[in-house]
Amino acid sequence: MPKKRIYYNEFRRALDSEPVKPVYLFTGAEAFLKEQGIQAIVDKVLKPSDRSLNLECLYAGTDVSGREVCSRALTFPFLAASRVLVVRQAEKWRSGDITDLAGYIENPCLSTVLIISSQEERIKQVYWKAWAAQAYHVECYPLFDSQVPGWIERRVSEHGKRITRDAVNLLIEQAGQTLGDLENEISKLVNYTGREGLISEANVREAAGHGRQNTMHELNAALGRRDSAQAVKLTGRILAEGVPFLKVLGSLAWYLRGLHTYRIRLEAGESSEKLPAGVRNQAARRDMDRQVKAYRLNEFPIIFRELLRLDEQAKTGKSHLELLMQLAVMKICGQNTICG
Amino acid sequence: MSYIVMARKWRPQTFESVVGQEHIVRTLKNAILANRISHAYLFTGPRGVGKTTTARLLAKAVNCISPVEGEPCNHCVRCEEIMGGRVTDVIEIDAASNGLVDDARELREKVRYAPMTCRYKVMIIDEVHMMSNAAFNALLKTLEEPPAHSIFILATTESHKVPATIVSRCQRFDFRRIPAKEITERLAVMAAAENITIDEEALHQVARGADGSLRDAQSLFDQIVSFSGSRIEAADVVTVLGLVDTQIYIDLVDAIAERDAARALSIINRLVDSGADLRQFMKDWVEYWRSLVVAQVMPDCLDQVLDLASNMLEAVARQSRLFASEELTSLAKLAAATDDELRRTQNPRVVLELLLVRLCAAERVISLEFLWQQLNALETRWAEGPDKVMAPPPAGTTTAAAEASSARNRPAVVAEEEKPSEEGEPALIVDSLEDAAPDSYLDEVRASWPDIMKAVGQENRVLQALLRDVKITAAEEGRVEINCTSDYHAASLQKEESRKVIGKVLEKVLGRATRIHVKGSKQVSRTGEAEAENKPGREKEFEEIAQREPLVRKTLEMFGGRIVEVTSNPSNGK
Amino acid sequence: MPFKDIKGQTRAIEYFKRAVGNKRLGHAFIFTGPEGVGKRATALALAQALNCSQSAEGEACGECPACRKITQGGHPDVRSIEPEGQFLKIDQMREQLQRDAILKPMEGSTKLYILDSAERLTLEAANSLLKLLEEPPPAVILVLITTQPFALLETIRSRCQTVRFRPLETKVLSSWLRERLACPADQAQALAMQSGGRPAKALRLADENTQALRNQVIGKLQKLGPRDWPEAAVQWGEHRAELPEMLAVLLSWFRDLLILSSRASRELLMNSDRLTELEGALLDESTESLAEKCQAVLTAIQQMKKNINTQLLLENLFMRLGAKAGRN
Repeated sequence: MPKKRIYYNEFRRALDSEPVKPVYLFTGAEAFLKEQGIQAIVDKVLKPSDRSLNLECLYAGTDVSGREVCSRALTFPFLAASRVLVVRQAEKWRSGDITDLAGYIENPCLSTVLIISSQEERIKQVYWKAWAAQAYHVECYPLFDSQVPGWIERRVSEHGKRITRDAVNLLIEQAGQTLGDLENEISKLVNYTGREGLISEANVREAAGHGRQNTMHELNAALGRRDSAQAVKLTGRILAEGVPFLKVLGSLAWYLRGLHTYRIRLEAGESSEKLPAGVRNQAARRDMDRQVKAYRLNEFPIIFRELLRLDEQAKTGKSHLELLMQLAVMKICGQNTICG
Repeated sequence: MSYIVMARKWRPQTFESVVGQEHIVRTLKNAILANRISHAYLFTGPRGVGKTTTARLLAKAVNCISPVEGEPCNHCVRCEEIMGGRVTDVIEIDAASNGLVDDARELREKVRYAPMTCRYKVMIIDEVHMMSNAAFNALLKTLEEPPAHSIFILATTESHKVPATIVSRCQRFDFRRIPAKEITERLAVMAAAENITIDEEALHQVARGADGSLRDAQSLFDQIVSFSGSRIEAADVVTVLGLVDTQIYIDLVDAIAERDAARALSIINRLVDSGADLRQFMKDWVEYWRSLVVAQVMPDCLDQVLDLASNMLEAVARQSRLFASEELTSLAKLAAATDDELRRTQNPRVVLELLLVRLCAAERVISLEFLWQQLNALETRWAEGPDKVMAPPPAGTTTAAAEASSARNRPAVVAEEEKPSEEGEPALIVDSLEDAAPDSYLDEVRASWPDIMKAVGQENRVLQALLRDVKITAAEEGRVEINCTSDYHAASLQKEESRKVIGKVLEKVLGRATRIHVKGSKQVSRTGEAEAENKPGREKEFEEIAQREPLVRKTLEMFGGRIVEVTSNPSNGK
Repeated sequence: MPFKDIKGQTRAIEYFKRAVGNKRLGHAFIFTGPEGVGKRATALALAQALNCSQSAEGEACGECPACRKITQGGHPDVRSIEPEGQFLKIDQMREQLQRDAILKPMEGSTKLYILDSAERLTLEAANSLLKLLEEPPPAVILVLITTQPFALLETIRSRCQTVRFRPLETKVLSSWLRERLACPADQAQALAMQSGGRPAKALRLADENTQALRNQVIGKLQKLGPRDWPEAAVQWGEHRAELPEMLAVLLSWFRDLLILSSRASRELLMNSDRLTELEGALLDESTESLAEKCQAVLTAIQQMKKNINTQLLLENLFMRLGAKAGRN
């Protein structure tokens, strides 16, 4: 069988239907999926009671060299059918380690499941070419924008609940698109809603610790209208509530970046199908359509420069960040008028 | 000393009594009810808002023999043991002071064994960001294969210092700053319970001083009670906390508005003499400037937007009208930058005095356009005879013209530090119809252009000059579109007043009501210019552009001035 | 020395007397304020008030063995912890503070620990104090003394009660100096203003040598024409040890010129005893150029802390100071 390179979903299906392979390699930036994958294998292979003696987790580079992994992988299980060896941060290995490993992988010990996890997106082909058929290479790329809402919905239903579309959009806006972060929020939301079966937009708003009126969403909308007064007011309130400065900045950047991308695409004549994630419902789309015209393309360099400056000021310990952010927001809205 | 400080005395013993973190409390209670307890939690947030308290409550609740709705009962054996700190199964470690920093192995040892009496072994690690790398690694390993029946609660004020690998394994809760209102409410409850009378205003001041931290508020409150006993007045708060009389902020701003350096300096002298901490003062004064900025942007319903006493609100409303928007922005920024400097200097008084003298010595911000208008007026008088120019300006003209006749004047413009790239200079939002279809109406308009220009010149010479180098790109009934080679000119033409004037003329000449649309041309972009590296270059560029403007040149000639700084205004691209 | 012997600081002292009287004394304090205004003295006086065998109304007697030991620094329950070299290190915290604090007081009723220059705590040392500050053992009081409260971790400030020590009012200090030094009024005023309300500093400034130096500097300033500055840079560079003081005089000089140029009251001057010379120097300078010169001196003072080459620093400074002043 040729070496298989598959995506995460395929891997899960394979895990369910086929016998466990002796070697798995996980790559890609989506850390959550990798961990889910690893956990799925462990769950399938080892009973909880067997884990203390037969599950080993190591870190490449700092803990172990490739050679050591090989020797550990050659150890037999203790009072169990299999042994699982997980090695993370494999991107830290050098070619020597990988060559050693390649030797093992060509002829792995069948009672051991060796799982290698790496941050790299693309593995050094020349190294892994040495691999034989026994390994599965699971690629865990970050999801496309359009896939994220579906993922969230599936995750929520695995907990036995449902979630509204508005809630999904708001969640993405607040927590971003990294699955790990989303999982964290979903897990909390499931608890937050107690016995209720539905997670609503209001729940997402409350559980994130923000007040009813002052969400980032409204701030973004104010920016979209170039409503300087509202934008300044909301910025002040959000920061006063204690939302971390960098989080607010991140949200502003995300929104403005979205506008920018959308605008570029529109001007290039693309259809408005590929919208940024979280903008799926009709109302949000109309908003976007309206907002995207608010800024000309040549204003964005200034906007991004303001945002960069805010980031710098935050990280160099300048004081009065709230004031600086409010001034920046004013400038972005472009309402500085001159007297006289 | 048998006295226990309020922060300790009033530490909540149930989730419900935790202030300001309802979203977290509800989630945790439900988790306990549903028995969906994580192996690892991360509590992050600013100081004194409830992290350690909630961690201890969670430790109690998961081990309580008979919890009620997710709350610890507080009288079973487990609850009492835990509250007394006598239980080996609940371990609280302070990552910074503990030997944990050195001895990472100890951590794994402690959790390895099953709990002795409790259901769960809970390890609370406070200030977890201070752990050494070795300790983090040991913690990570433990979190990856967490022993059954173990729960880790990590608490920190600096979550960004905790490795992402650890954060990803915890359920993360962000504790928020507590709004002043909730702090005030809590303090009122505490005061009532301790039989202390304290008025509204005093409570507000304490809450403001606490800046989002309930523990700070309790500590301040404690301090005041130690001083004043059971009757507290606003004056006591001022005394103990060393607050500055807020009138000073107001007076200083007035002095600056009136450019009265002597007065400003005398106020500072009083401030210093009263023993106030200048750094604290500056910090609060910048907040005051911020109120002015906000007030200028949204002058209505200030009381909802700003958290200030009513006399302050009045002052803020009044003073926000004393400055031009640009000016206020610059002043606020300057104040904020000076605050940074104040913290580092050994001579805070001189730094502050220098700032004030500079602020009072700065000329008022004059927009270039305003200047042009004045020069235009001057030009007219010049035509009537050179001697007329030096004549005292007619009553009612503004400061600029008056100052123009004084020897010391330079057209100083308060600077903004950054100059946008030429490509990025935004013009006013204009709809642009890319209508390139050849048009006889267009030709007609083009033909009439000289007449149009002449007529405009009769109204306004400046505008006429600006119209000289435009291209008429589109025209149809009721609408003419022109394209400027210089964004500068475009911006100026786009101003409401300009468009009105031109519109009027167009109507006259073309015989129908016509709107004018102005577009700046897209200049060739300069690739690869890093903003920061090229700042001085850009300044020069701007100066060159400014100098090329005939009117600016004339100004410089007439008054022997030099360009001090050039400001860019994004809303009209100057 | 007991509370009554401390000059100024009535607010702080009143606070402690009341707190002790009400039996509501906290356990962790930050004493902030400029140098030489009585922070340490107050901490010691507090220790006395708590440990004195014959205290009355919150005041220690000052005479009993306990009081005397505290004044002389020999009381076993009153410890002062100072930076080892540049910093207050975590080892010091562990050995001198944490281990010691859990032991009962040896002679008195309360143990008092003073951390001097608390802004010099290393990050680890500071973090290691957090738990102790929040929940100290019984009968322990911690006093952190600092001139820069904002340099302390927020988490530390949050756990302590901050007591502010203020400089004396100029009038008060000035009249005290007149008596103490038997000097003319304008000189006392100048010293009071220059010292920023700190009695200890005022006395140091009044010292003969310091005054001589000041006179020298001011004298030179009068004689320097625009061309003399470069040479002056060399000359001054030779007095490395005294440069900080000389720069301080320069700063106060140009600052005073600025004050005069802004038409503010003469009361604000730091060199009011040299009014004529000041007014003379004022004639040619515009406010703007004075502001620039003042800034130049401030910059030079900052640069001195950063180990910048002295010669270059002075040359730069003097070039800016000698720049053609005046109106356009």
